[in-house]
Amino acid sequence: MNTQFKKGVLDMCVLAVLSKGDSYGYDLAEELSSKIQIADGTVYPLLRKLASSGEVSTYLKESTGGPPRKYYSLTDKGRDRLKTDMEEWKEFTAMVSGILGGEQ
Amino acid sequence: MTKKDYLDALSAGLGTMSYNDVKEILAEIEEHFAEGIIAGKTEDEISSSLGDPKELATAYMDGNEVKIKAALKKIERNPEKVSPKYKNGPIFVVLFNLLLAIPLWIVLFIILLALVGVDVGVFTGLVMLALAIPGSGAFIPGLILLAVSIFFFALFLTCLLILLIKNFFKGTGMYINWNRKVWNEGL
Repeated sequence: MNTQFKKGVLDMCVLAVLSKGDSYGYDLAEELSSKIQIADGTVYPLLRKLASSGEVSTYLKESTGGPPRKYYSLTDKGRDRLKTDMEEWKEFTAMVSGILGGEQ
Repeated sequence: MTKKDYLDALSAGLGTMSYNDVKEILAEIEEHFAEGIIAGKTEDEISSSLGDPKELATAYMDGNEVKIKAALKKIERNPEKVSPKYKNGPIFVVLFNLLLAIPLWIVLFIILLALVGVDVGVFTGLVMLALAIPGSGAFIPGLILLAVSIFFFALFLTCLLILLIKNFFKGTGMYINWNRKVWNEGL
């Protein structure tokens, strides 16, 4: 699939996965790469960007039989962002579908 | 690619970032390797599923740029957001409407209504005239000419009115939208 398509919506996808509950990097990477074809590494720069803009927060949590995991959690700002992104996404896809449908 | 090779290639690509940022990023990716190994994958498998380390480094650098841009934007935007104009939006809308826009709108509306009245009057006059002509029993060319010119005048007035009324409602709609914008965003 077109990588430019994915680039624009991955932020929203990461926020959407986190809206279902806190998660750590590896888990997020597996979850997303199993659903959309992306390299596992892609989520890390995104998470870093979202953390620096205050849309996600991080905390460390002990894991059984491994090193402590860095967990990511959606902040209120992230929740707002996800809501507006989802609305815009729906509007946008509807418009694109309208154009594609009109050409037939 | 082994974990060490991957991390070396990644850190090579992060050249211009601060030492702390690079350290955090490498720790993050190292954690990913550790999780993968617990899940039973080899370093080679994890490296290839992570994607090209150079591309990953570029993505991190892009994010860094975005961060800097966002910081600059915040500085630009903040004074605008706390500016009194923003809070004055609703007050301005209420005062502007009460003192100027609504009276003006009513005056325009009455003028339009009066014009409609004139139009109806002209038509009525025309009908009366048309009825009077055969009744008079005489053939008066001047009168017929007058009736024809009144008819065209009435037609012209009607077209003009339709145009005015259409634009009046369109303008009102646009004005309401503008008010909504001012209300929400200030002037």
